[in-house]
Amino acid sequence: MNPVVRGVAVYLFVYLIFRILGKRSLAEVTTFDFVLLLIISETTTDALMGEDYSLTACFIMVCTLVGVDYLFSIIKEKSTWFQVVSDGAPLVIVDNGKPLVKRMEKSRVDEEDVMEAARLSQGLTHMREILYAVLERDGTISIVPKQKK
Amino acid sequence: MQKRLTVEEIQADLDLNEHLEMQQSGWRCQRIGLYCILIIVLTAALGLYGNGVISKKIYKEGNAWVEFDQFFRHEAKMQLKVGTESAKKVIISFPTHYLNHFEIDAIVPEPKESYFENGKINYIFNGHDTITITFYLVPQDAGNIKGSLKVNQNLFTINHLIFP
Repeated sequence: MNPVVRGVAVYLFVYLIFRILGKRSLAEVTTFDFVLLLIISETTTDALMGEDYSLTACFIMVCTLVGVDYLFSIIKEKSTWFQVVSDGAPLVIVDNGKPLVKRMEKSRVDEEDVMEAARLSQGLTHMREILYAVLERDGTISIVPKQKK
Repeated sequence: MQKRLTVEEIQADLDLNEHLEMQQSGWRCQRIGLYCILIIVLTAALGLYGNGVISKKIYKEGNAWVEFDQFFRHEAKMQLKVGTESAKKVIISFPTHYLNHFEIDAIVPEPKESYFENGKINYIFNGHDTITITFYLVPQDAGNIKGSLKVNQNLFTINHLIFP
């Protein structure tokens, strides 16, 4: 198969898989997840290169992957719709100290995740001290504490 | 018409656009995607893409039989097994239009002789009481590959669907 077609197909497939897994898939990487990522990268390398280990094929593949990524970033810049579809949008999951349970369930985030982010970023100890917790596009949780308002 | 929200509606004093309707569509798509992943894994385990129960096909004709994968993957090595009973000499012939879609990686046991005749490649083996010959084939094209092979006087028609 043509290396450009291979590259685009693998890029889109991996993109789709991580989009299906949701925002939190990469934000909370455990040791096992890291090993799993290495295995996935090894597997995709074989599918990308096949048995063609030439320098030309390597250059074509790198250019294809970077090119598709660049193209995606341009489309995202031009179209808000595409940006939201491909990267998602920020979502408020705690409002005035009250966890928004349905939103958290849908995003596969629990109160422990919110409190962990609150402790790490703001040194907060209770949910009631949080004004807003927002699940950002990259899967991290940002905390707005009450006293800073 | 505005879609009904299945999550809490809030009035946050924050400078951000949640795109809640699109978030909801995204969650629905994620669920569909997870089902798709499940279906892919299950069908793969059953052999829809080769190496499994669904894929294996065995045809018998006279004292010969052929075992092959109906479904397989592009550039992956597959086995085509041919067997005969009570034949002193086994001649297996493939039409070239069929073999053109494959790279023959190995033939076990090796044929005593091979030659090309009338658009067919013939392999000759010394027979025993029962002999099983394995062709290791690597598909070079994706799609539907139709072909046939003749084992002595027995004709087999075989089809493969090769996934890219």
